[in-house]
Amino acid sequence: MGERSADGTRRRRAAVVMAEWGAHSGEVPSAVRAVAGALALSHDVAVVSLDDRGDLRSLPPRLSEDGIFPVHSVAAAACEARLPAILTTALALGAVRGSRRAGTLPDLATRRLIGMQSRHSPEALERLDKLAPEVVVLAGVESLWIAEALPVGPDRPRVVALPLLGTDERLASDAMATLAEVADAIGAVSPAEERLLRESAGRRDPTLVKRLHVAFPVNGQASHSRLAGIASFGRYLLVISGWPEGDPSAVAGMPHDYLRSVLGPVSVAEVRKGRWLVSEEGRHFEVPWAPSRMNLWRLMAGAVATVDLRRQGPVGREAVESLAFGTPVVVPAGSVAAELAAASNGGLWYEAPGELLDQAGWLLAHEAERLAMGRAGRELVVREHGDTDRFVHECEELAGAVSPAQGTGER
Amino acid sequence: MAELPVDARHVVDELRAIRQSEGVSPRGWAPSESFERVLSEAIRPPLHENEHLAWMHRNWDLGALLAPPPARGVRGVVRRLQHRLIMAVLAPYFSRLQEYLAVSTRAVDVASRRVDDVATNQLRMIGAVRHDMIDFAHYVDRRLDG
Repeated sequence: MGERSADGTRRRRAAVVMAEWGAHSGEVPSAVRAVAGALALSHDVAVVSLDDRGDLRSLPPRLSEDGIFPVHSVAAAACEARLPAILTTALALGAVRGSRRAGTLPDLATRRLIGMQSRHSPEALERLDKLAPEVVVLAGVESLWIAEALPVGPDRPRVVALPLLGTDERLASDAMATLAEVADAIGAVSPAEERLLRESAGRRDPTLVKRLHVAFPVNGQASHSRLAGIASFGRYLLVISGWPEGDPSAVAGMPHDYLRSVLGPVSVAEVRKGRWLVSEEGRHFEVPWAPSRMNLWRLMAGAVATVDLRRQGPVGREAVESLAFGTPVVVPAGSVAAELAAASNGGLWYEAPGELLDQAGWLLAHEAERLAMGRAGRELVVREHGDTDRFVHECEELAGAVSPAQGTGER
Repeated sequence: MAELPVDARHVVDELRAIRQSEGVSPRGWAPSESFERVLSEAIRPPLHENEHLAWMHRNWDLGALLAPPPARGVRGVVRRLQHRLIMAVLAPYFSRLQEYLAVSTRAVDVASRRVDDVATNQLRMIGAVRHDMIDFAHYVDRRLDG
């Protein structure tokens, strides 16, 4: 900790706090890992992982290496998962029935929901005290409580909040506005998140909310080397119902012959929880290759369109990657991925399964428009998510290591 | 090639407008994948082609092991004498054992074929039910679409 860099200056210390670090490789962990990686270029980064250890709460904090960062695991109990789910559904139903205006979630319910999801842990505060970082990055709603709990004084580190809530209306609530009083900067990883945060925390101080263009580089080689065994299936639609393994956003897939019976003769490749299947009329093939991201890219690069059935995350990573290969997407409405599709004209979005079939059918039937959508999507994704230098600069700016005017500020 | 301007929002609105003009909402339901999973998981090599069963078929016959030793000379004479002595005592046991192995192998073979038949029939039934459900889904869709 606190080692000197090549030019002899002492490197700053940063601590990244999030729940269940390394438990799965879904969208939130990969975005936080990208932020931690960007900070590691100029900081000594340590991770404090708020882990629900079940009955083993009395065990002392553990320190391990995950190959890149030292990870301090502290016990932080999670609440029963169904309670926030019920409250979230109730709040969403309120919006549907029009019992309240959009952007005006009941304050008490919102605070209660954030409180439920918070993973309070005195051990985490002790660990942060020992690490004595100059910057604390609080990633995910589970860790935001730390911003209020950190002692005030000259030794207080710079607090950076990353709510990572996507299009969740809680971002625009008063509960989030109070975050502005205790955080030194708030990072938004999508335009939707930035817009909502500006309605709440941004009202107090517009300079507090900063946009992070998370860089998700893809390996362009994937478009030249298609997944072995796929070529014989001809034109195929890629359906994602479960990815990556262990990601809680996985949902039930859709029968391939049902899709074909509505969409006409087209092969279907499905990335589902635990297995990948490719099928055409009367034949199906279980992909024997490793379910790696490179192989997913190979599937994306050769697909007619990528249809995402999962609950969407705060960045829309798979939509970003599909568009990077020029493959249009069909994604759930109201998600960050849907906003990306709309902003880039790189895909369509659906509210109900029937709409999904309508949109996928339209893409299959309109070849020229589909190709134009792929090109338009790719253009925006390369601009917004393909610039690693800009992302690193934004992370450093968030951490207070550089001023906005410095370096690549012109971009 | 000239760039074809595409407005995604316009496409989504247009597709929704088509549905609305038909007086129907888009389907809110799609058949679940559960049957598909059952079907794809059920496709396995037949049990009667199991490698253990194949081994039993190859090795149930003890005839070669129970035959008199073919060695020549004094050693051969001694071995054959040993064989005759042992067989005089254990021949009924070996005979019963041979019979038992043959019947067991046949029984496992019959059971495995029966299991394969049941699995095939079940697969056929699930396939038929699933096919009917998808047909039914389309029927409901058509009726709803007027």
